[in-house]
Amino acid sequence: MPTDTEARARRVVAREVTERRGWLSSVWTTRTRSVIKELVAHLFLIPISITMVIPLYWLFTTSLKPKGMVFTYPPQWIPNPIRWENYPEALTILPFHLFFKNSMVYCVTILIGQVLVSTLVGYGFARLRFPGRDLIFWLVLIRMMLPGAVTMVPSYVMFSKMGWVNTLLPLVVPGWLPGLYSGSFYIFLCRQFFMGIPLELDDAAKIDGAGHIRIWWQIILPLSKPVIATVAIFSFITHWNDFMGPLIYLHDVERQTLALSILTFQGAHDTEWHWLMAVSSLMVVPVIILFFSAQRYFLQGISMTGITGR
Amino acid sequence: MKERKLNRRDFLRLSAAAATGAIMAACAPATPEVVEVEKEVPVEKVKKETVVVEKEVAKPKETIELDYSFSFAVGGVPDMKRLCEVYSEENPYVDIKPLYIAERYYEQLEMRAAAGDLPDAIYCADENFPYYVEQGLYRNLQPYVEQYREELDMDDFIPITLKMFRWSPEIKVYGKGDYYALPFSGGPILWYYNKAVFEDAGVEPPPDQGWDWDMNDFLELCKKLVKVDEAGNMLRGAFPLPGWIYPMPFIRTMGGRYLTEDKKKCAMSTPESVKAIQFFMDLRHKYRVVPLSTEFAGIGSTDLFREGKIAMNITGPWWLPTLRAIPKDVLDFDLLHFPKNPETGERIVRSTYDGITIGKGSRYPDAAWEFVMYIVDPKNQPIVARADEHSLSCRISALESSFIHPEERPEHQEVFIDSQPYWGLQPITEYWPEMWTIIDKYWEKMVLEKIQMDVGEATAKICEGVDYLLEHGELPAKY
Amino acid sequence: MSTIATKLLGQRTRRWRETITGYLFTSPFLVGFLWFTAIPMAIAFYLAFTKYNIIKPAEWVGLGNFMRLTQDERLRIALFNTAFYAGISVPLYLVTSFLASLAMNLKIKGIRWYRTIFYLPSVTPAVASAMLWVWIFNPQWGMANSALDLFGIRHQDWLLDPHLAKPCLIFMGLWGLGPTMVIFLAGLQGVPESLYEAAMIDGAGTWGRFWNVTVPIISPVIFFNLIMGIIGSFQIFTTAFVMTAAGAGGSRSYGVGGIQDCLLFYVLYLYQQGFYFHHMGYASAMGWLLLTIILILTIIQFRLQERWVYYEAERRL
Repeated sequence: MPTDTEARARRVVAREVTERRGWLSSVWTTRTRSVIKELVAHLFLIPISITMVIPLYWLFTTSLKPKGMVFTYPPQWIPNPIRWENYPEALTILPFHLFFKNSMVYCVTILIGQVLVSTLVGYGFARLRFPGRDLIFWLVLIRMMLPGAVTMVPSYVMFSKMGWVNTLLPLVVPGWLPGLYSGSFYIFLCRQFFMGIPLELDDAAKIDGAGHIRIWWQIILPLSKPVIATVAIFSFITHWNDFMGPLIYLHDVERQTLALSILTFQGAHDTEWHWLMAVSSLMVVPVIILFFSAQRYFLQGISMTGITGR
Repeated sequence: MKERKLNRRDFLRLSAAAATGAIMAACAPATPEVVEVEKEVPVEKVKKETVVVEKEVAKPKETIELDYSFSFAVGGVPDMKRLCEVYSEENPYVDIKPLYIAERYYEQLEMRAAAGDLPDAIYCADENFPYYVEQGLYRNLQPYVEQYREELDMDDFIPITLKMFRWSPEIKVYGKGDYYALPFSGGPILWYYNKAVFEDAGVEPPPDQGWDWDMNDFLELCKKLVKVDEAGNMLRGAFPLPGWIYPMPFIRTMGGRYLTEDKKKCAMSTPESVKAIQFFMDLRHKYRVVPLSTEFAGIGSTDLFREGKIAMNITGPWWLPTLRAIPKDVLDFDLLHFPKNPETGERIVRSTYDGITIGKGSRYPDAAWEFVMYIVDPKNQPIVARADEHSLSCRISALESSFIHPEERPEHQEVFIDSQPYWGLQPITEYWPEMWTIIDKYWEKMVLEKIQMDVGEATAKICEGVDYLLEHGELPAKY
Repeated sequence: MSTIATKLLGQRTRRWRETITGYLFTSPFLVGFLWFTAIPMAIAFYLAFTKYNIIKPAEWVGLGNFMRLTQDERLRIALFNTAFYAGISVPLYLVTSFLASLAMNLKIKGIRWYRTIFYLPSVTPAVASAMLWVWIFNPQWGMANSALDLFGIRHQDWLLDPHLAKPCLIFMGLWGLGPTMVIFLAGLQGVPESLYEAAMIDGAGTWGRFWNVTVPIISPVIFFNLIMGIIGSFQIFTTAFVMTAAGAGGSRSYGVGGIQDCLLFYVLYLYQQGFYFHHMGYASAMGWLLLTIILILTIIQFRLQERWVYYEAERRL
């Protein structure tokens, strides 16, 4: 395992440094120091984590309360009685499985497109030099500066004229050809990361006769796992929770998504909080799983030992 | 194409079936109601004749599709869809495509109008109705109403509900002129009270025929209901004050008005109105019987009411399903008529209905009209009203049968129906959202303890803004 | 293409080839931009000079909307609120999320759980979390005032106090740091271990390593988060919309912006003008004004970045 050797090397270096620093440091062995460091970290992180979890915990407990009993005074941290029936009810009043499928199809299609395209375009901005590059890059930024409410109506009329309304096209195509806010965001993100990767790597590949597509695919992408994971997580979550797009463009009930279905629990006069929270709780589950598992790519980091860049 | 249609039908059936179950579970004691509905839908005879008429008029060779857009709480959606499905089955030439828009309904209608694909049948609210008529979204239904007057049985509509969907483009006055929609369902706002709180405060419950009471009695009642701790913090308020339109019954009953008779000017600064508004503000500032609705921000009135933090609440029949879902041992409640003006003996409450109309660009207005007739038909009204958050029907003949459920709380449900003679129209103009914003701003200033503004001053400011708005058709730069 | 052949190609041809490649690589964006952004943007630009209510055709009014921008009292309030929010929240969120990402980069037990937990609040649907916060800040029975009781401080009105509402909203935002934190974390993961080792051998302490290795290497990421923070905070919408536009139970509320407009942010006002008051032309003019403001701020940041952002790839370009 490379990480093992790395860790060992680090320990060796650390010990050397410690020894050089004299008596004070030598009292502490690396081990006790790291144990204490870890304890202190947990001491800080645990209370903060608890406060971070409160909104989600509250979401979940509300989903177990009976209709009309959302708030009680004093606040009830454990609902009494617990009403699990909210879940089957919320899931049957709307065709949940169908919406789940729709949401998945929608999110995954866009995710693939956005990861490929934003790394590709980001590569163009970060690694290539051509006239007009900076101008085009500013267009990426400008896209993000114009509030969506302003372009919403013109976009709708345009897609309607094209006959795309009530299909997935107005939602998916701008994902693959990034003309919307989120796409620009990922391009900018990828560009920033690629600008930080040493150019020597490209040079080495160029000497081997690789073209830019190959450098992008074989050198940059493998080194960019953290940022790819980031784009993937963001893209998935954004579209998983996005209701404006589906609301405007998907009219048929059988095409609608989960995020949109949550809104249906909000009536003009009254909100079905117990059902709304039940579906919201279920919607969070895939996101947590995704985030937890995508971290593997964060943990790997970029092993660039030996290529110091300076 | 064929395949898609099948899917949709399947899905609709599925969801309708599933939803009936869910509704039964949600409002547990409502079981007999559901059974009644299922019996009623297939026995729909009136339609047969009208279908013949429709065929004569439009002579469709093939099935036409009618888009029908609506937006209300999800609980009623399956019932509404089922109704559409039954209609489509009964009328082989018409296929109703229900389009349920959960959020930002009117923004979406506008965008569809801009793109030229407005739905054929449109569910609409009363508050923005004049604006959309003026903008040419809704079709003038007057010719149809004239032609089908008999069949519609106009006398069977609650008279004021019909007024809610009349507009005269010439004099721009709401409640007069042509019909641009027909009422769907809705209701007035009236008092709900928590029985346990009344008992705790030592208030005798009203007799079966209700109290014959006036505002002075009401004030005395409120004083009895309030509970304050030593430090002066309110432990229990009489009722909450949400926004400026909910207090409409107070203002109107006490002799105040929002707009002049011709609806061309603001009337909130007249001495009578100032006096009426002052009476209402005194409930908060002088007698301290009401907490601010904003002080409850984030705590729904349901929770406050159930917890006994407020003794009463003024709202419409749409609150019933929520309250009924709460077990009786946790909350028992009943209804009260609105108190009268002590001097004149008059009273007026706010009533609001939803409506249904035809999109102006509809290619099949005749077929859409058939569907509108179907929705307002007394036979279907019980389902329609219940789907629309359990409101009241617009039909006199369907009112009791659809609304009164003796086996359910509250005991005196008939209060909602009996209050009919004193229902009042809202002060609706073409510029409702703008008017809302102006009044809301100064209403807040009158109500908030920290900024508290004199009623005379605030209403003068309101009238300045509203007069400008009604004259120029847009907000002043400063208001 | 073989190495020899590449070498044989002249400087000019290589430039030309790189230009073609550059345009090919960025073409998905260019096509998407021209198609899905430029067209609606151009229409919105045209609409800024018209009276347009979405339903009826636009009517040319020349500079009318822009004249109105200069007189609109509430626009000034909205600009102030937005600038206030951005001015405090951008640096605050940048620092706190950076600190959080440093903690999340520790190699301790259960770090994956911590990371997930820190990210959780930002995946909670906005409607649900906004409702929770409104409840917490309730002056009568909210948890915020119960917390003040512990310290014997007088109760506050929080969101209902025009002076406290914006700070409350900024405070709430701390729960939504997840995405910014993850971007920082991805940046931190990209710092080569070898650089730290080299620094250690040079005798650098923890602080020295942080200041001389970590910060320069991830400065492009800091810069990214700064720019996105500015762009995002000037467009704050959803939270404020959900919290202030809640209907008064029974009829649709057109009030956005909270007590006495203290939470009236720019895009919120734009939305109200465009969709509630049906002044889409005016809203478009507002949109273009906002774009100009953010653009100027961004250009300033891009100028300033030359002093502190370190790009590997730009060394030789």
